[in-house]
Amino acid sequence: MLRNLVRKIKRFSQSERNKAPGETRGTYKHTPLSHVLEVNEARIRQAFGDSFDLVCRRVAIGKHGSIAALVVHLNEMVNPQFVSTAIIERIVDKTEHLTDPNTVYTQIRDSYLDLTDVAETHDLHKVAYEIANGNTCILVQGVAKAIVCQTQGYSQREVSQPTTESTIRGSKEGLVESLAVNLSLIRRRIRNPNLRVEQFTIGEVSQTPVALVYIEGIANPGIVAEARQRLSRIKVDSIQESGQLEEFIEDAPLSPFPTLLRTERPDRVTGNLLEGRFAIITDGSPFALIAPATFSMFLTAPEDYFERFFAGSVIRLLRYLAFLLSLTLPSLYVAITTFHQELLPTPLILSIAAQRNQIPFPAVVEAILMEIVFELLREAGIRLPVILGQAVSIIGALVIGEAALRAGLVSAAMVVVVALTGISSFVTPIFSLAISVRLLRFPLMILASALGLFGILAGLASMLTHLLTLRSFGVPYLEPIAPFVAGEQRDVVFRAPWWAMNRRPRFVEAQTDKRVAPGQIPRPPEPEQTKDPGR
Amino acid sequence: MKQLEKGRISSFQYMCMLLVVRITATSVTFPFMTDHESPTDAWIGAAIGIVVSLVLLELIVRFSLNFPNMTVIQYSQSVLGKFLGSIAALLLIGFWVFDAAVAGRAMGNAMVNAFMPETPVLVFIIVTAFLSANGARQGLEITARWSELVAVGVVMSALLLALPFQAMNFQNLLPILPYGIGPHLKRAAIIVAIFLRYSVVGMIVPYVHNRKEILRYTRIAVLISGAVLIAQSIVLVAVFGARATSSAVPTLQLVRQITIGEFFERIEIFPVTLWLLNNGVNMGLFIWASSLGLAQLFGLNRFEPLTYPIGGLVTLLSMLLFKNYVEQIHYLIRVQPIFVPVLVLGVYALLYAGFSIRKLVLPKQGNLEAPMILEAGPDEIE
Repeated sequence: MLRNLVRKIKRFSQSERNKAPGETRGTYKHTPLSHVLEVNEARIRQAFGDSFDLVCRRVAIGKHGSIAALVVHLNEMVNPQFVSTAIIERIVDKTEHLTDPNTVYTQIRDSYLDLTDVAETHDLHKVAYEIANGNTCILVQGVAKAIVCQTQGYSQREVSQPTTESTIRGSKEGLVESLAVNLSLIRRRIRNPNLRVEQFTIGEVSQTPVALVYIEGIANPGIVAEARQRLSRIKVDSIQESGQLEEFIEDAPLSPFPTLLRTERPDRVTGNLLEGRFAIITDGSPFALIAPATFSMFLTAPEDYFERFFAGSVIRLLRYLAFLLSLTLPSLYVAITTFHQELLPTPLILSIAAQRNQIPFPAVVEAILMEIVFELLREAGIRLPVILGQAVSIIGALVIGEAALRAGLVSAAMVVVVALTGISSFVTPIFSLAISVRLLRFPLMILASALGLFGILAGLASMLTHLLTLRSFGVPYLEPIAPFVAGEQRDVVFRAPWWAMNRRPRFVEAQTDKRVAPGQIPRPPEPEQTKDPGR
Repeated sequence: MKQLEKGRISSFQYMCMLLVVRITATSVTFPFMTDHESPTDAWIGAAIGIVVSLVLLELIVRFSLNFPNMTVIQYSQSVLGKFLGSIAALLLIGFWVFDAAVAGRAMGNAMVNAFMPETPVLVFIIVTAFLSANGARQGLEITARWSELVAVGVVMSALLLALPFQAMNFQNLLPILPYGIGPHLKRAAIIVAIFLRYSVVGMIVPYVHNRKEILRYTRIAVLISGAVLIAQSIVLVAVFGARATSSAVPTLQLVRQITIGEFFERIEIFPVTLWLLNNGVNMGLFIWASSLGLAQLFGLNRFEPLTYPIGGLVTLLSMLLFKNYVEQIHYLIRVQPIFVPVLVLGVYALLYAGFSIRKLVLPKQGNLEAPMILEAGPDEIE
């Protein structure tokens, strides 16, 4: 049924798609610029509907100020000082000896501007969109062309610590909302001309710049082409966050599991680029999308690679355990207290039974109730103004924990279970996976209350079947585990030391897949080579 | 011809599927031991059975490799003609559905007997059949990946057999051949019947990526599962002695004895979980094979819509086949060793006869009805 629904949705969206892929900036018609400056100015003003932040500065240039020119930009999107010194000052000063408008125009375009990025256009709508993009346009009386100067200078957040993915060891830089800054953070980590950045403009209204980043020669060209194609066929009015973009390009739109990894850390982006993946960076969002994403990536933290490999492996194992606990612990509690009391050692089950004796609800109601309360607390904790934070912790700790226990509404064991589940769910390094686990916990509890452990098993099995069918950009979601790839086990549950991780994942196909030169295990120097054998 | 199943699997996955199919049959129930005379030297019967199965499977797989791009359902018609071929194909499909039902019932009964006596057996079978059909619907690749996950686990859980070593008394194994070779031949027949569920390879072979390794991996699968079987029969006798014959689920009883420290009791939950998954994958594979077979037999465009109805059929059959546990055991021990070899070997013998006659007669006439014989280059057969 779901499948039919998806097919219908797909068919619908296909019939709506009328334009050729690749053309994203297709909304404006071609309107040539006029030779008359006043006409151009009027049209630009009309295009912006006389917005008060549109600055149309008339400048008299040429010999004795005989030629009229127009400098247009949006006040708050440009760096005003830059516009005045690098553009206005220079075009007034330098053109003093010239009389012919065409010469003035070409001279300005080719030599006078103190800028690195200058372009030219004949099209009025292009001019309007460039202005909206934070660029400055120069028009000269008698010339039906415009010079587009890159002068973007809007306010942006400083590079700061990533708030959702913090680490103890490793870079403290996080991505920010500006595409340019993000690209610089990535370029600085991979200083190689093979790092490719392709720009897309997505959103008919918002005209959001989106960058597709990959490393030529490492990334699989087929996968990159697929990404390019998926990006260029998006037709939407605006993209405000990479999450929106994700829903347009993911492989399994109806799956509870994320098939693109989102991250706030530039080092995670570059690490994945080096493994042959690509990244999509959206202007206005500090979250980069990485694909092809496999399940194990969501349980990987950057520290695994920076700390010593024993520690990294053990902590990663712990994280897998936490993932399982956060998914199944409440349902296990329900199943065991309802059906399989014999599974627990007698003293323990006696103590649980004694507590449960006074509880008015069946175990499943108790569990669902407590889980909902916990979800409420968690949601409140996120939305709450920081100043009120204490209130929630008091309510949480005292009312939910202590009072509910005393009142005999919930058993102490249940509180422990919910707390443990909560803690475990915070261990998942990537929040988007943690959310899906939060949702999947509830159907499992209901299954457990109906069929006990068998129900949990049935739920997990259908979940696993679903996971096995998932693909991210053609790569099976559970890739190194099933289908089993023996060589890639060194970076799944355990992390092999760096000198042993010599291969890139399998989907990198026929490209350079040697990462580390062989035989680099550090060894102490041979005894006869040491200069001072006595020590 | 329309490609119904687009998946391709590796030969390792192929081996895992075979392991799953084989281990399911002796994981929960152990028909090989229950209610037999001469339990002490059961491993002799196992060894005989494994050797015979190895030979038979070698023949079946080699024969399937004559038609590297066709399933057994497809080539049965080109070998035997429309009418006889359809009958052979239907017999095989029917056997797979039947076998999935037997496996489902065995699992359901074990669950009811051992864990949840108050739940009707139908519940377990419906849930498993639904999930298996759902898995089968996703195609062979998904079933193959499931097998990989499960087979590794099952082989690992076979290591649990070594845990109750303190309870083992190898004196129990001692009277060797007290009743002569007769009982062992009966046992061997059961083993052969179990291994002949591998007739399903006829459906899998065309989808294996590296066909040259199929024969090798078939042998490995038979040997690994044979080793587990022999180990099982030795350990069971070493722990329980002659009592091993009286239990319907001896392996389960064995695992139940394991305690680690004073606290971890009843760790049978782990092997039982694996066995359940194993059973589900096994059912999924058979449901997949019969759906795809039916679709190919009747020239349907898709096989996926058949999986749920066949899952329902499996559920129904598993309820109707046996009135109670005794009948089930009776089938597994007395009926199966005759019924399954006659059916499967009969069908394959028929196919082989048709194939040989065609090979003798047809190439001279240049008949186009059997183009697949030309497809099988000498390099395709090892």
